[in-house]
Amino acid sequence: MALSLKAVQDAKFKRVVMPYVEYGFNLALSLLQNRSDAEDAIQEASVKAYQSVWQLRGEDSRAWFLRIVRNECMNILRTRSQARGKELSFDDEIEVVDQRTPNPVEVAEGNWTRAAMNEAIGKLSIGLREVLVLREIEGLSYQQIAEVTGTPIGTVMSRLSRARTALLNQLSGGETCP
Amino acid sequence: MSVTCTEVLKLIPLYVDGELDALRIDEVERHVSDCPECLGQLEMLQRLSQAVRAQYDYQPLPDSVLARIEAATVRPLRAHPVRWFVPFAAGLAIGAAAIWMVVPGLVRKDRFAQQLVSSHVRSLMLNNLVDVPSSDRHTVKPWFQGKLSFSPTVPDLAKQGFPLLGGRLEYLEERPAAALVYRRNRHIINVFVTDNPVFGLSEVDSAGFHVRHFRFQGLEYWAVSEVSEPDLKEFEEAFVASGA
Ligand SMILES: [Zn+2]
Repeated sequence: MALSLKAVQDAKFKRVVMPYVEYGFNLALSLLQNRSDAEDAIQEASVKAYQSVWQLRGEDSRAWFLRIVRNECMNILRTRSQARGKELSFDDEIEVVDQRTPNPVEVAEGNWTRAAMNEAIGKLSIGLREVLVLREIEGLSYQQIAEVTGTPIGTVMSRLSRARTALLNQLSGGETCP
Repeated sequence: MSVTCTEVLKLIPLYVDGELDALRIDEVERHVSDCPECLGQLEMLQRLSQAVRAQYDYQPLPDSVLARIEAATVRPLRAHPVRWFVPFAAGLAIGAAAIWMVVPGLVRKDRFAQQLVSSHVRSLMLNNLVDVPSSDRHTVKPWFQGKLSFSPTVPDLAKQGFPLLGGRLEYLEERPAAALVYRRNRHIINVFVTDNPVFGLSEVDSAGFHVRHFRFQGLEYWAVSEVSEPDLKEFEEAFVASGA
């Protein structure tokens, strides 16, 4: 009853990667904000994950796969910005983020619509949007987000906090940052 | 008061994100119970977090994209296209055992947890998720009558973000058990229910799957899923809170 290596590879891929393909697709959509690019990214990432699925040794396959998806998205973004003659920048300092302290009373009274929420998330810079989506939608821990994005955990926490502040200000105040 | 507002304000995001240990959780909860300012901050972040999850424009994976991925990876070379889980189904019983032997590090010492995860995976792969497909607890619960010697609790958790998909009959340790199937976003949560109290496991992780055990009204419940740990914890809490 011998199993071929291909059969084991297939089985492992289905077990440890397939459950996260849809999560990966949503991460790609949020980073690239373009459906056809996201479809390309998830396909390319899945193929890479399939080829290297042997490297996984009982570690966290969700974070592992999302890191591959994220790298794929970064490649696409890099190509895009090169086409526009600009460097892709993740530098927090150049992001203009509304950092007024949100008012809990305004927030409690605010009636947030689905459209307003998604618009506000879409307005976040990539660095902030990425940690927010990895935390709230992909359900990753700070440690896992640090692994996926290749940033220190302290940076993850400060980006998450700034993403939330920006969202709260947008949703409650309606004042948008330039 | 042992902790200051400044300290608590730093802990609040970690509290909301499920990143604190029990001791710190207790500190935060005791502080906010008589500090309205910090409580306001906590509620604000909690409300935002829930709203982002509930309102996020989450997209299901299009079948066409799934088909492309399968074609580029696991699809066997065949003249007639088949759904990827069909060829896999036949090999899974052997495959699941074989993979655990072949790939070191995936071996779980806990055979029972392995059984739960295998059952969970099998339910996803074989497309036999539910024997009784229904979002109505009043349909699912009676369906188990006569099939089991006990009656599982089947709460309606749709409002809490875990819609019921149905139930099916399972075998755990060669005894019939109930499997209740819920969903979080696009991810499945299987809840296995038995009246067999011999297994003491509480939380196990196996290759990306989480298992949570809880005892409720004299029965044993194991929730198995690939949703995040905080989500599965939230599920357990919602289940116990509304299952009475
Ligand atoms: Zn306080």
